[in-house]
Amino acid sequence: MATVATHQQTATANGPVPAPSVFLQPIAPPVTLGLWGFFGSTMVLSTLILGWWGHPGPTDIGYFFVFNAVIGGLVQFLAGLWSFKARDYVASSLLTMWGTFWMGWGLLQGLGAAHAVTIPPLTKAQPGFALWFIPLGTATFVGSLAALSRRHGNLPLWLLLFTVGVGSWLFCIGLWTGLSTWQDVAAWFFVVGACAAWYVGSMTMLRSAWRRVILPIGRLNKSSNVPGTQLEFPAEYLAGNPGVRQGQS
Amino acid sequence: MSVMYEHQAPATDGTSNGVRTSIFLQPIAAPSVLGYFAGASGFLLFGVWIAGGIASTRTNAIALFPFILLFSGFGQLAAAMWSYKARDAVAASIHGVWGGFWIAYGLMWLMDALGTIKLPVFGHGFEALGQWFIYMAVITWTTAFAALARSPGQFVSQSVAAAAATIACAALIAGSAGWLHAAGWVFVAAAALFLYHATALMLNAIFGRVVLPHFNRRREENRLGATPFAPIEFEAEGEPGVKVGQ
Repeated sequence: MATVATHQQTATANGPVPAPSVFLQPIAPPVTLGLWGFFGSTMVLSTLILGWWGHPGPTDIGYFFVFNAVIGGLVQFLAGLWSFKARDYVASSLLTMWGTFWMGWGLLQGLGAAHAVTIPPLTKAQPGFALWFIPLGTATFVGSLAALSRRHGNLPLWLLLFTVGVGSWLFCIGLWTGLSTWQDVAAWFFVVGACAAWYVGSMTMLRSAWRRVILPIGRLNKSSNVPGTQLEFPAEYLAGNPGVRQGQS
Repeated sequence: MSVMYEHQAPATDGTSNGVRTSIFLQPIAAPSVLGYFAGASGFLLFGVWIAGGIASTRTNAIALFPFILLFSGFGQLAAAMWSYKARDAVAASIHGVWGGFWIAYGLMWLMDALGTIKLPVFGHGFEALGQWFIYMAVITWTTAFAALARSPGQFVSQSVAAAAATIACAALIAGSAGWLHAAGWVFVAAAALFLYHATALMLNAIFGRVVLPHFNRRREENRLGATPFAPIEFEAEGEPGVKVGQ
């Protein structure tokens, strides 16, 4: 504010400097797409590790890794980039980070499928891959601290980031030691985090589409948690093209 | 103009934290025209193939995948990205997830064509793909419910797509060729509905009146010949963007 005031009062040789003006442009919330990409990818791999389906070997992973790399990777990454326009510090950093993780994991599995490298089984200690999960877990855990903000955070988001952050550290231990117990515990954390990701993504999209709370947002104030409460009033001209109004049809 | 939200009226003095501020709205063409066309193409090609409308052979699958990868995949994903600017949370989500799915599906067949992996016969069971269809179904049911807020017509279309994904996941996990055929035909039905929405969006915007109803909640938007939209434009200035079209 002080900076603006200074500029407004400064005159140059060519006359007074015009006062700066800020324009704000509304967009649809990108977090839904990103979190849904995370949800699907994390569920497929975590449930495989937990033995709910298939075998965690090269055959089954070879069939689905590309879906994780694209939907959890590329798509989540793009949603993370759009989150910069949404001015969302947590989503812009963490969706982009996890998007790059899934693309990197897909790249590694692709090299394995092409027999360019040998991917060791999860029961074998692999400290190199384990190291990935130290920055992943730490950044996600820091995000969970941000989710404690009364204004910008909410309980489902905190649950998502806390479980995925802690789960990443546990998975790091499991990969480092090759002990499946640690990996299974971590996979349970990931399953809880993935379900929370679906919830946060759905909650956000439904609130935007219905223009009212549908799924409780999980904030301390009561109005955010009562279905049917209208929290926002989008600026729009309803007879205009998409962008001037919210939606398309 | 009368349909502006009354809630916007009590704007303050146009400043936020002492800085002069305005909310800037930029009109664009509806990205869901592309999104629905691309999605319909994916559903049609994939559906006809797994339904046995054309032989469900590897040769046919390989003939189909480049179009699915590029148009259904990248086309629908591009529509999702533009849907953020259209402020359409439902379109961004459904087109984004399905766009990503078609890209992955195309790459999967590319790897098969290159001999990197060897895909199983879908009708005998393909659990890994079935697992992904679980989450595609969950997501599509969720977007369908969200679409109901504005358009019961699009709720029905997205529900049909969600039902197709649900049947496909059960069929692929259980290894049921019969159910897989059924899923294929439901995908074809979803393709027809998506095609309708794309056509309606385009024709209604181009002709400036309702040519094909979208079955929205607002009755005015469904009455044939009605003109519920009046885009802001300056035809005399001429350039694309300032006027509608080129």
